[in-house]
Amino acid sequence: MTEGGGDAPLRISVSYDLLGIPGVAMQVRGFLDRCGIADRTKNRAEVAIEEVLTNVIRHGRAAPGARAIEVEVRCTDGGVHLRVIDDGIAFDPRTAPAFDPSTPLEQRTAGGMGIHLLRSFARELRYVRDGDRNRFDVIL
Amino acid sequence: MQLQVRNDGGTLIVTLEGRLDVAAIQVIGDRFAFQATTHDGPVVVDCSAVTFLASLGIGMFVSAAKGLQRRGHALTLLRPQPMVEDVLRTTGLHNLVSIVHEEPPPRSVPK
Repeated sequence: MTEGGGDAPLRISVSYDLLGIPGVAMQVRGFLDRCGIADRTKNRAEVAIEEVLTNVIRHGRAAPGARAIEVEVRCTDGGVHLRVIDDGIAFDPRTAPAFDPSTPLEQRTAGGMGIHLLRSFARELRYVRDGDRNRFDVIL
Repeated sequence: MQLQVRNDGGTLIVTLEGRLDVAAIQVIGDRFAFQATTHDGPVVVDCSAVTFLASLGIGMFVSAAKGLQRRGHALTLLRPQPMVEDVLRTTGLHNLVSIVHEEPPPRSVPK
């Protein structure tokens, strides 16, 4: 992990291991604490990083030979810019089906809530396939 | 994440403490599901000491609420912190289960 001071971003290298996610989230929280980000935005950023990393790791997107996931966090003017780069198969999370939060209990499934949280919390979601890597930006 | 369970006059009180994140789900998810799906009565989850919640935790609550509903009972979430309630409401869980900030009386879904 490389962590800079001042306006430098936080950069973390993450293995394809779900159990590594909470540690990353805590590092992100600590970094945002030092930036003075408001609690609500900070919590939403923490949720966002857990959702993005869980999605990347859980859904088997690690292509043969996939090495690591890179996380970059920048504090902006009162906001947060999260960037997650992985070398798994191409996947744009923005194309996931819409989740309807008014769905009745008996029709609810566990799927779709993560991307719904991202769509709801973020001001903007960006995706680029850059060579053999996915680059996903969450701007809060 | 800590999970404690007690039976209060037929209402199962489940107290969660800590971060309900992806690692916590792997530790307490099965135990929570077992408790919620084998109890014949309402279940109240005391969320007051839960400091973090994301979609996997919501999924755990949804599964429990569905199982309880099929048996004519309900799930209640007690005293979530504002950041946790932000996630609950964003995913519409407040439409499916009661979120209360005072100790509620046990309730069952009318049969």
